[in-house]
Amino acid sequence: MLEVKDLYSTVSGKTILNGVNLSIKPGEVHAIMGPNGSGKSTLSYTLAGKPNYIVDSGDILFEDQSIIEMLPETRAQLGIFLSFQHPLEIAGVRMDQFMRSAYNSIQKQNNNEELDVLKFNRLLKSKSEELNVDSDLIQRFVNHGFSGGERKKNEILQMAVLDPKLMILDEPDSGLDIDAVRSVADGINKLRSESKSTVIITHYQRILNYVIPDYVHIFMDGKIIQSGDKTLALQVEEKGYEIFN
Amino acid sequence: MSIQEIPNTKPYITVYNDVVSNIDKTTSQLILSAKKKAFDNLMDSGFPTHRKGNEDWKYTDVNKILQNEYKLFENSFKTPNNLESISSELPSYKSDNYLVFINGVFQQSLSQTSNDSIIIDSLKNSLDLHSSLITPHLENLSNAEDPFMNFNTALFEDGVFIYLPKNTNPSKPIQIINIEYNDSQKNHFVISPLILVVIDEGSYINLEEYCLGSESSSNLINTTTRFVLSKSSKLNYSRFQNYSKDTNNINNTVAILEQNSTFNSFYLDFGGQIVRNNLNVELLGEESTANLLGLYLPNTNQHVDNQVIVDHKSPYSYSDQTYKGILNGNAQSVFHGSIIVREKSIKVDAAQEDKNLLLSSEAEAYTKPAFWIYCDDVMCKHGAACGQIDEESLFYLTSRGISSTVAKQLLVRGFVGDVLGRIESDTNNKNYIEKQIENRLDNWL
Ligand SMILES: Nc1ncnc2c1ncn2[C@@H]1O[C@H](COP(=O)(O)OP(=O)(O)OP(=O)(O)O)[C@@H](O)[C@H]1O
Ligand SMILES: [Mg+2]
Repeated sequence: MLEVKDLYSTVSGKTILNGVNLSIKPGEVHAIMGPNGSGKSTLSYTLAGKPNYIVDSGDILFEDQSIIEMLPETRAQLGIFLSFQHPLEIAGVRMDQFMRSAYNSIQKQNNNEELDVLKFNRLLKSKSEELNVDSDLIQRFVNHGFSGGERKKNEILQMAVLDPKLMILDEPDSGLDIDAVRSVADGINKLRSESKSTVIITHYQRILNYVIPDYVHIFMDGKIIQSGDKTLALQVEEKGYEIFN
Repeated sequence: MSIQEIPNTKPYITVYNDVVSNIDKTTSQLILSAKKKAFDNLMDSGFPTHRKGNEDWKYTDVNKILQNEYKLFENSFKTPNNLESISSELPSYKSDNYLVFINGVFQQSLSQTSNDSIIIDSLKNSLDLHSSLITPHLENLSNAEDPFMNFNTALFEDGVFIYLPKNTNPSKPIQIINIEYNDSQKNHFVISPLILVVIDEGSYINLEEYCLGSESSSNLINTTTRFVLSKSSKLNYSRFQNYSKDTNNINNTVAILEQNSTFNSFYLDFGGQIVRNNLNVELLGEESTANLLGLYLPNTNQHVDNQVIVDHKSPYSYSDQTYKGILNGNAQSVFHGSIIVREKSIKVDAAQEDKNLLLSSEAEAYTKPAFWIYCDDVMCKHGAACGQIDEESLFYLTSRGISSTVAKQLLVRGFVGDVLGRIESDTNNKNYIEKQIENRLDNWL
């Protein structure tokens, strides 16, 4: 599904990623843990194709195709989804309009049926009910006046509607109360399947009790320095990142 | 000061004399004296200049407007059989009350008015029939200090007169269509429409004005509009301006609001080279309300200047100014909004906001708020912002699979969405406005 090969990338003239290697097969869940400022979000932005995140060397293959030259919209249309660490508020743009526009762009690109307002709203409503997202939120402007928890839930809702192949979740659990963590985790689990892959960036092993990872990677100074199974997350929780230095 | 020393006004002595000699001899002496007074005022003051200390015209160059010598339009062309042949932007729906002007000249045969108790007619016709209703307002106009207002009073030949007696509520909007038309040779005309709208107690109307340009026109359209809202009356006014890109448009609007009356205005500026909207709102009566909305979308070589003055002369009055600009190319905009709250005007609630979205790094927007508050017990809010499309927001939308063109359209439409949502006018008018904005943005993004 995803092959990150010796990836170096630069933001504002500063090299942040220092040779990331990561290989993810369909159906797998990978957790990435690492200290603040180590470059986890930078990795997620680089995968999603954020402008100004410049790949200096290395490659990113998605389903055996290099994506480093692709626009963010093209990557999304191929099935890559990034759940943002800090979801943005978009003034004046309603959630339902935004989501229909996104859904139809992806459908169109993949030669699938586009939905009219009525049909799409039905889809959006059923997804939001499934995920226990207040149906008010989908008629409001994107993230406008949403609480921290609502924003994170809204990312999961968007992901459920767009149904990506690769889910990259940048701290989907931070700032959430324990019930919200569980409901976000439930949301992620509902979307998992044999053919889909998940990357969860997190500081806490808590969410990994619900979304059980196949691999845990320790990310420091812009690269993965150690990989293991889920017990690695417990070690981090207990002893911090000191032990990896 | 002798006339020769004053810049720019001299060419208009002949124009003024032509106007006066065109006036019907039976016309009331009052009109002639109002014109003379206004013209003398203009000769004394001169046109406003860029000079130091002239804050009101600091960012808009009057010399650029007046570098052409404008002549009076001579109505020599043949009236077209249908308007569609000279303008492609006419609204597709026609109300019962539909007044057409070509280069300021009333087109009786192309207009229609329903004849109920309301007076809706060209000003010229009305001056003959209802001069007693009009002359008090002309006297008022000739006392104006503003040079362009005096210029209009001195030169106006026609325009619109609307009078609503007590408690009348026409269900259909009143539409004014102003079309520029240039048959061939390159002439610069000064066009001076005067629009007078008097709404008596308890009455209510929707008024729509469409100002449409033609390719080769290069005029000075200097309009005065006066709205008088009596007790408990309401006016919804929506003005779409898309004059030729070489035409200069100065708009002098005064709205007088008596007790408990409501004035909702919406200005949409697309066209013109230099556009100046002076909107002076006087909240004379308690609990009067003014909701003033504006959108301007100037393109390269266009300059739009909105000068709004809201004067709270009574307690419990409410006002809101919400203006937004989307600027393309090297367009420039000015927003100069003033709020005055007089000494005894307690419990006034006044807000003002101007936000600009620059689609190019060459575009420039100036925002200058001003407050004169002479009363403690008031609420005043103010906001201003200026910036380009937010790159972070753009990435958020594109990361969901939306192309950057569509994402920009969503963001830009979102930027003006709150203003569009608040326009008070007929549904057809709102649809027309949305369509116009959509078309313009499609061309830009
Ligand atoms: N646009 C930018 N310009 C300059 N430096 C940046 C930019 N974006 C990120 N950085 C720097 O890159 C480094 C990595 O940041 P990043 O956000 O990827 O860390 P992170 O691992 O996600 O941290 P956290 O756990 O706090 O979310 C930090 O030192 C940060 O200051
Ligand atoms: Mg981060």
